[in-house]
Amino acid sequence: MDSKKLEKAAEPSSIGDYLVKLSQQLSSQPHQHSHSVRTAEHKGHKIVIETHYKITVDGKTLDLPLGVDDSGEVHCHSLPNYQFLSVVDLVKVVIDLFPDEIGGSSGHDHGSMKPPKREATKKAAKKKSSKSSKIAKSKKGK
Amino acid sequence: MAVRRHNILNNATARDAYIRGVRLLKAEASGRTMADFSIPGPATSVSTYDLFVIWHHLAMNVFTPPGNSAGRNSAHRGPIFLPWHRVMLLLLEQNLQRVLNDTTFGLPYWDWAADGDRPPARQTSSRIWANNCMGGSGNPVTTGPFAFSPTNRTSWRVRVIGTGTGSMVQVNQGLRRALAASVATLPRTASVNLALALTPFDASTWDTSSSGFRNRLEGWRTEATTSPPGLHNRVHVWVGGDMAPSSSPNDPVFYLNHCNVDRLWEGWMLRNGRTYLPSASAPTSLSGHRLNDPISSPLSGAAFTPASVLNVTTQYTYDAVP
Repeated sequence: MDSKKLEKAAEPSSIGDYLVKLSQQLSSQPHQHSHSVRTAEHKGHKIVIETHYKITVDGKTLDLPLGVDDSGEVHCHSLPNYQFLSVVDLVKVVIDLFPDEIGGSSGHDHGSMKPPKREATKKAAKKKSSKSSKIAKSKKGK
Repeated sequence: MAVRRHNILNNATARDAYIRGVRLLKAEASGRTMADFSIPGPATSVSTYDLFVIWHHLAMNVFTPPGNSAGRNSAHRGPIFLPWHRVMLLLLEQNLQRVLNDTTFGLPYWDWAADGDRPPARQTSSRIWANNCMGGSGNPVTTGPFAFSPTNRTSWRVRVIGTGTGSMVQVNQGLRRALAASVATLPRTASVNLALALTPFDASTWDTSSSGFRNRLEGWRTEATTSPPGLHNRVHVWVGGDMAPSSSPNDPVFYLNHCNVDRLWEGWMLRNGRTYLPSASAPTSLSGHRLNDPISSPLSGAAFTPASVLNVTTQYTYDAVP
């Protein structure tokens, strides 16, 4: 590793310049929150699975950066160290971690995170999750 | 000359220098404002420390390659997890050396598995949470060097956080921790040893369901007797508060965790050789994670690649490697 290049890259001006460019690139890309596309091939067939979540909490839409991987587990880029079998559990953790965004919280501790199961018995928050999946299967070459 | 990275609980000099260094970086204006990063609100100055917070958040939103359904991004959920964080730590370490005016300074690490071996009730009373180290739990944290004081402008302030909906917002608040609130225990040495015994480095499907060492250390999969989150992920979740969202470098404990993760990777390489997968010839569906792909960082081009950071012994070594 070139120490001089490392030193140069570490300068706050270098980091700042890089991050400005990166944030501009990201802001110019289309956002498709709560929407993911999985593709696979099986016996010559191309499988495309589009999943879209419509989540409301207390009647208000919650637009989360969700994704579903090939094993069917759900992840959210706002929660980089979590992965869930159920999006219901995911939304419970979002409510725990981001109460200011959810609003109407009754004095919940901003910094605390409760296990989803325990939380379910405590919260009066009304959650609704609907999941629509479209499976398109087409013969390759047609 | 290579610097030495020490266990923060065994080296008071490294501990105190680290605390002083991150506080200096927090007080140093980077020359950039929140507006430069399209963060809504006033054009508040961004500190050098907070550049790293913003970097971590943005890296999470760079999908590699774009549109991959596994959710692999330029820093997480795939093979690049360890090389990317190694670069991040190197750049922070360079900045700490600069503000400390000490080219021999090495980032300390937190051997969290040693605390994980203690009874659960004693894990939150480890010396790392003492007043002379990282301080304790709270919303906000009120003890130690990162305690919040509303009347003291020099007290540790969180200025930018990642939101649930994936954006960044400005705040002016104290650091939050909720030790052991979400998961009761830290990872244990036995789990670390099982991870170190895994080969290869990574494997198909190169994501959060992979069977290799990287995925076990990142913490998406655990041994049969333990439930996720594991190892690295579990430490984030156990500390909680500001360690949980995409802006987790807001807590200086972030770097102690990742320095330990980096140390464990070094230990794995000493056992298995400085090898990495996927190879340079892997398909483009793994772009951003292959051996010779550029690591997303301030150093453009191919200067930082997984291949280039496999052996960093000219930069730093550890006082002890498992």
